Amino acid sequence: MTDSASPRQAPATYRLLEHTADMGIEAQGESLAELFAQAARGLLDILFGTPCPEGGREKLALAVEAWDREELLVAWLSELLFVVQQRDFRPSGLSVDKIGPSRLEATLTGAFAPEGSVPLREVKAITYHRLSVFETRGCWKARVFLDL
Amino acid sequence: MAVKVEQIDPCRWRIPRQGAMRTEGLVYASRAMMDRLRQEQALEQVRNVATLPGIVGPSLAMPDIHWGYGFPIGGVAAFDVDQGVVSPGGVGYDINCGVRLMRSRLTADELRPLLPQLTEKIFQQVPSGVGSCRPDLSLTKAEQRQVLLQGARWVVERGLGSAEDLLRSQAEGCIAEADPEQLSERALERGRNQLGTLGSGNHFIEIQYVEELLDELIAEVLGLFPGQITVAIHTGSRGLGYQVCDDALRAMLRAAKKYAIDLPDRQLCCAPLNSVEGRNYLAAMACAANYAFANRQVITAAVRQAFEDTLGLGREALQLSLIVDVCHNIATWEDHRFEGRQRRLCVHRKGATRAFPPGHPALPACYRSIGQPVLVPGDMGRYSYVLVGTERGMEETFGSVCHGAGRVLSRHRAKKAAYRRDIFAEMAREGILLRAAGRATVAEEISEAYKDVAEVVQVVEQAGIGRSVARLRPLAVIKG
Repeated sequence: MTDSASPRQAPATYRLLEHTADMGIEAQGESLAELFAQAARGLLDILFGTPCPEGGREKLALAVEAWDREELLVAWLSELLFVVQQRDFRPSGLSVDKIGPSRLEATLTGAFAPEGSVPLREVKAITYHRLSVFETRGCWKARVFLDL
Repeated sequence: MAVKVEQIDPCRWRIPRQGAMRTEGLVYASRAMMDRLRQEQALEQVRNVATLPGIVGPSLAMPDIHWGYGFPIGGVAAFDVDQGVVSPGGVGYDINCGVRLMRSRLTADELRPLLPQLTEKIFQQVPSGVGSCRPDLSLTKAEQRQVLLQGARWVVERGLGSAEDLLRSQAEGCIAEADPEQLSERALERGRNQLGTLGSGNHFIEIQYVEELLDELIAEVLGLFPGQITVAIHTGSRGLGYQVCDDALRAMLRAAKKYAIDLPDRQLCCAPLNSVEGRNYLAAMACAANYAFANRQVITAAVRQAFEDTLGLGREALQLSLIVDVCHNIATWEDHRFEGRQRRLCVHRKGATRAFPPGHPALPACYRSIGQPVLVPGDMGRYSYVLVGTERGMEETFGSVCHGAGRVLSRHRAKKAAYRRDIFAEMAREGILLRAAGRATVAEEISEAYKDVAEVVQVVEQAGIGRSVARLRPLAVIKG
């Protein structure tokens, strides 16, 4: 199962949630792959605002594992956060290539630290607070909060 | 289920025991604060903490309480050494985020003409902003190990501070139980070049002056006088601490299942204090706490150097000495008298400050007569307070007070409120020089985003859990 998401292509089906000190993401998708891709776009929105940084053709493969779908969402977003904040990778596109209840494989497209692309804000971590991933009437939904 | 809250007196509110709660909640707040609190999730979080095994006394919340993740920000909870648990979510990601306060011999009038130069110098010497790092201070593996084991002591031994700095820091700037073997490669990598950096968000360096003494006798012991220049530094363990918490949470999710601990919120995942998982976390947490102590010590040295270079004065003339360094996010082993008997407890403070009373053996001799000093920073446009701990605080809150003003506006709402305003000019009109790495941070950190810290301190004072000593007004603020 594959779902690609480029900030200038697929429509966004996520929204940012208000939190007194931090921020959250509520995402939805027709498949689990789309849901996870949308949640990732929400994270990139928090980090860079919209539109996300453009350009770059380097590919970065990511794979994460977890015990269940909720933890997989945290693991996935944490990995994305790590490559952005620690490895200075600036994704302009992403695709969730394979996903199951406990494993995800994805490819990021972008560039390492292009000029003028410092994140707007620091995200400390992806939390498990009020975390949810569920399917209802053929639509996948998720909610996750970040520590800023 | 709505959280039931009963008013005890003008500044205390009880959340009665119900459902899975093992104890009641106790929230310090004015009526106006409580009205606001009822509209967010923080009270629910106080209730959730009360369900954790081995909790001793109430699940507490200081008056700067607001919605956090897992624990509320402003939450304090103590756990029994044998029956209790340790929860990384009860410490937070920025392990030992904390604040230190320094005093000087200078007055505001003396410094004012050089303030822009000094502020710029500090801004240049202390990297701030998103992902700030110091490649010039990049640690070897062996050096990093020593930082994790020794905390601020390692920095002082390299000539970047004094024995007095250590003496006046909580735990003398080093928590003994640290074990670097518990840290992942990723945590170590993230910490390798961030020592001596401020970061972003609510972290800051502030040059302040003493606007008013509220208790002259205690202020004298602290060496404070009206018009005096002070410096506050607020930061923590940076990416290393975030990674330690992140790694620990994954382990604790498994541990909670293994030990059959029911969790009302996954972020509260925990393990018994006497389990392998619990001990491993505390050993990793101590490493991150020590890294944070070292970080604030390196920044202190950079600030001192900036003062010396800008003013052309030596250390003796400036006497930029530490008043206190306190932790905001930490779990520490403490001995407390509870219900008539002495107990060994693991006290979690998540956005709260230890404030031990006069006479407490953990205090350095210089503070034993007055109690532990605490800096309670307000927002960047108003003021901060110096407090000391009290006996009543020791009895009611395990010797804890608030850690700041507490947010009231979400970042989105703060940004909206700041839209098209020149916050730098507004601050300048108030006589405050603002220097920041990013405009987004400034918008999110505007004064209105926070409670008025005076109201927070008033509740602390009224409840008798802390005593006000002095009010400090910012002259220059450096934000990430």
